[in-house]
Order: sequence, then C-alpha cells, then structure tokens
Amino acid sequence: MQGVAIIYFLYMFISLYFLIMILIIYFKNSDSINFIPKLTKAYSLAIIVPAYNEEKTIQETIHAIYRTDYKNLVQVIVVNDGSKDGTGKLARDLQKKYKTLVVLDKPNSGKANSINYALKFIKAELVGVIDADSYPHKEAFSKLVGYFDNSKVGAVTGACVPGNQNTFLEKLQAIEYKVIAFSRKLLEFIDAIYVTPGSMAIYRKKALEDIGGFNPKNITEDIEATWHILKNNWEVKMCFNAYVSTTVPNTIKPWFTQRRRWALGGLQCIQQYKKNIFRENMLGYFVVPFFTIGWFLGVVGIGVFLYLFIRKSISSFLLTQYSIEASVPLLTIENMMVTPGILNYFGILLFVLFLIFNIFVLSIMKDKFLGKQSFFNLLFYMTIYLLVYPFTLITAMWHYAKGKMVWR
Amino acid sequence: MERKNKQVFWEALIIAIFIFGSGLFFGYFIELNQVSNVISLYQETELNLLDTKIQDGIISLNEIDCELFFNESVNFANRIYEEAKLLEKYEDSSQLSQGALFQHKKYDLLRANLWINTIKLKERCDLDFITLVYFYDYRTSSLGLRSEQEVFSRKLLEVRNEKGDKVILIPIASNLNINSIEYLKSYYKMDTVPTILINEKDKITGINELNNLDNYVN
Repeated sequence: MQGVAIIYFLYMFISLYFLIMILIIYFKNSDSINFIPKLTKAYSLAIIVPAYNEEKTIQETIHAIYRTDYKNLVQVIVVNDGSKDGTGKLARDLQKKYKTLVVLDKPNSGKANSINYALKFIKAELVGVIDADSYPHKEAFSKLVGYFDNSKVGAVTGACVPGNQNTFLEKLQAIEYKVIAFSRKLLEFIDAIYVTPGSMAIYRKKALEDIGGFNPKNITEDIEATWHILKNNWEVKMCFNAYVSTTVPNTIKPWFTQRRRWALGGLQCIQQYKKNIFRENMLGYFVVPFFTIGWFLGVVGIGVFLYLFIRKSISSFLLTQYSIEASVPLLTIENMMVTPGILNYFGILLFVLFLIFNIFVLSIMKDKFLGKQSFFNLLFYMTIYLLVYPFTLITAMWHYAKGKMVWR
Repeated sequence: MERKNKQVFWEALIIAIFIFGSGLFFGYFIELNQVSNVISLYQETELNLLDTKIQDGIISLNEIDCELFFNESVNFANRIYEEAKLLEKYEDSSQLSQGALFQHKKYDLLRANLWINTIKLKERCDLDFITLVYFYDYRTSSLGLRSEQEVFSRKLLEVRNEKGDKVILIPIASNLNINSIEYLKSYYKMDTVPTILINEKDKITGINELNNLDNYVN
C-alpha cells in the first residue's frame, strides 16, 4: 500500500470516528438539547462591548442589548478601543437614552485589553461580552443566565447565527454556523465546549478573575479564555435556544482573514496548552487533542490533495505536450473509464455520511430562526467551501512561523 | 460529565473500527474478486499458451498452414492484450492486494512466448505481417515516463485498430525481472523504455521518433 493511501485511510478513520461520536452524543441526549434552565435568581449582569471602528453597527448593538428582556442588566460598557471613525461619538449619543450605558475611551491595544480594562469598572456577578457587530435576541440573556445556578458553571454561550444571509458567501456561512452551533451544543454533554465566542458569552465574574482576565497575547482571546476556564475546572455551557445575530464577512478577503485569525489563535492555544494533553480534565483529554487532530487533518489533507493535484496537473501537461508532438488523440474513451477502488468507495461513503449528517443538522435547525438552505448551497459548502478552509490553516502556520500575530 | 457520556469515546471507537474494518474487508474482497476475474480469464488463456507451445512444435514440421497460424497468432495477441489491459485497470485501483502483480508477470511470459512464435513463423512462412514489440516500465513513478508511455500506448492502439490484420502488437513490461525477458532485452539491445521493436530490426525510442512508426506500418 502506498504512503498516500495510508494517510488517506488514517484521515478517513479519524473523520469517521468523530462523526460517529457526535451522532452517539446526539442520540443519547436528544431530549436535553433544547433544555433552558429556569431563572431562579436575578443575577446582576453587566455587558462589555469592545469596539474598534464599528460606527456602522455599534448603535444597533447597543439597542439590541437594551431590548433584551433580562431584568437585572445593571451596566453596559462600550470600550472604544482607539477607533479612527465615529464609534465613540455614536455610542455616547445613546447615553441620554440609556442611563446605564458607559463609554470608555482608550488607545488602541486590542480586544482582550479592552475587555480587561472594562472589567475594572464592573461590580456585577455576571459579565457578558458582546461584539460590536452582534445583536443578542430578546430572550437571549434570560435563557443563558439560569445556567449559573450551578456554582461550577464559569461561562455560558448561545447559538450564533449570521444576521446577513443575502449573498452566496453569507449563505454558505449560515450553513457553517448551524453545523457549528449543533456540534457545540453536543460537545456540552461531554464538557468539551472549546469556545465561548465573542459574539455572545456570559461569564461568572469570579471565573474571569480566577483566570486573570483575557489573554492579550492571544488573537482569539475567546478561545483562550474558554480553555483557561476549563483548565481551572469550571464548566462551560451552551443554550441552543439563546440566539445572537452577528455580521459575517460578505467577501472572500475578509472571510479568509477572519478564518486565518481563528486558525492562528487556535495554534497559539495548542502551543500554550500542549502540556495539558491527556491530563486532568476534558481540556486535556478532548479539547486540546481535538484541536490538534483537526489541525493535522486539515494540513495533511490539503497536503495530500495538493500533492495529487500537482502530480495530475504535471502528468496532464506532459501527456498533452507529448500527444501533440506524436500526433495522437489527446483524449480517448478508454482514458475516461475509471475502475473504482477501495479508496473511491471509502471516499464516497464518507462524503455521503457527512452529507446526511449535514442535512440532518439543517433539518433540526430549520425551525430555529435560521432559515432554509438549498441543496446546491450544501453541496458547494461540503466541497469547495470546506476545501478552501485548510488554506487558512497553511497561511496561519506561515504567520505563526513569522511571528505575525495580528488581528488583520 | 455523566457516566453515559463518558462512554461515547469508547462506543464511537468500537463502532468506527467495526465500520472501517468492514469497509476494508469489503474492499479487499472486491479487489480479490477483480483479480479472480482475471485469473479465470487467464486460465482460459493458459490453454492457449499450451496451444502456442504445440504450435511451436508444429512450426518445426515441414507442412504447416501459414495463414492459419498467422490468424491464430493475431487473435491470441489481441486476446491477451485485452485481458492484460483489464488487469492493469484493476491494478490501478488496487490498494490492498498484490495478486495482480503475479498475474501481470504471467501475461508477460505469455506475450514473450507469442513473440518467439511469431519470429519462428516469419522464418518458416512467407507472410507479410509486422511485429511490434513494445517495451515499457511497469508502474513507473516517473511522471514524464508515464506520460511518454501513455502516448506510446495510444499510438500503438491506433495502429492496431487501423492495421489489425497485418500487425501483431506485443507489449512487454521490461522491469519485472523475468529471466527470459531479460535475455530478449539483452539480445535485441533494448536498454531504454519506452521502445518499440519493429520486426526485430528497427527501434523507435522517444516521442520524437514516434511519428516514424507510420512509415513502417504503411
């Protein structure tokens, strides 16, 4: 058996394993997926909105936060992180309307530093973080806060959905967000939620103090904070029915930049927490290995793909050149006939399994404020969209090697 | 975490191993089945091998029907050509079994035997036919050589389709370490691949010379 075939089989086995694991978790916990804890106590809640050049969305974000139905929202702090546009002014304009709205100005130093700066002004029991381009839905906080009755819970997040679903790229991201939300909820049942995304997360203030706030050196501070919380034996929960709409990139370049940042942050986290692998709790037994294997699958997968693609391209080029030189047909019917082998069968089987899984996820999510998706979009998502993804990993590795830990 | 959720890692592992193992077993079975298809074809062809050996003896006799022997040789060449091509298709998709390689060697021996018979046939009979013996590298990893050999194969197939009644095409893998083929290679000084040996005299080596093949067969 060739080396490429061995890698291919390994790749397939790992993918199959995770798919089966997710499905088992689902069938064991399908009754609990929509669980929403009752509000037994009105915990005081403060929201931090770090903002850098967000004049287009900042006011709508503030309005959305104040439109929520949570009764004990004591403070909303917008941290204007040295914006060069009118973000600060637009936020301040709303202070007359919302008496508990605070706007802090500081020189630009990044999202983590902004949140840490705002934490100094907060006296509430719970601290929410909302991105300045995200809009929590009316009942979002009420559905999340109930989880904190369990004193072990350090952080809770909800389901993030694209607010803009008009262009093709936005629709593809809508599929992706649905799959992510579904998978994340299932990971809750094995205590392995690996991120409380910046679009909407609520933390127990005590847990944030325990981890020393957000790490400004990590460009995905939300992933790092979640891993740190898990490391310190806090639990992380997710409410499947608490929604936040976020603005997703609508062109390729910002999309690629965002995904590269996520990948780069993930790499930083793996590096930071590699000593925890197979130690203590689910951070070490699942989250860090899961991320590491994900990286391995992505990079090796694209490596094998590129290797085969380049070989095929060179071969086709030479074949064409020689065929012209020797005046023989460029293509014959025999060349188009392919005898499928075991690799083809496995590839098709795995693709069909993932297709069924995705259709299954979308059918579960279709009534959950997320709209329908066409089958073409799904196929495109599973082939071209996901194929581009590993390239973000490659460029992230390049940035990591060069020490370019930048947001943009 | 509840106990029932802790078990998912092991349950998923067991199920994944079961599905994956079943897939490997199924794949291995398919590949074996493909090879066994060729083996059954080969068994029929093996009869023809015995036949060629008898023909070999008959050719030594005084009175033979040259036309009949020639037609039989062309049919035999065509038949083992098609069967070996089918075998190569299976080989290309095969990942788990090595049975096809063994079969490939057997077909190369058949072809070598056929070639010897055609040489004898030429010596005994005044027949107007052309023998094209095509030497190539079996499963080469060189992209350039593979492409070159593919073009040679297409050209030869074209010739065979056009001049099937006058041409006996005998492709032989030159790198399978078969003693008789090594001897033939040495005897005819076949030191590069791909090469077409025409009537045991002229050689065509390299893409640039391939166009000259038409001059020999027309």
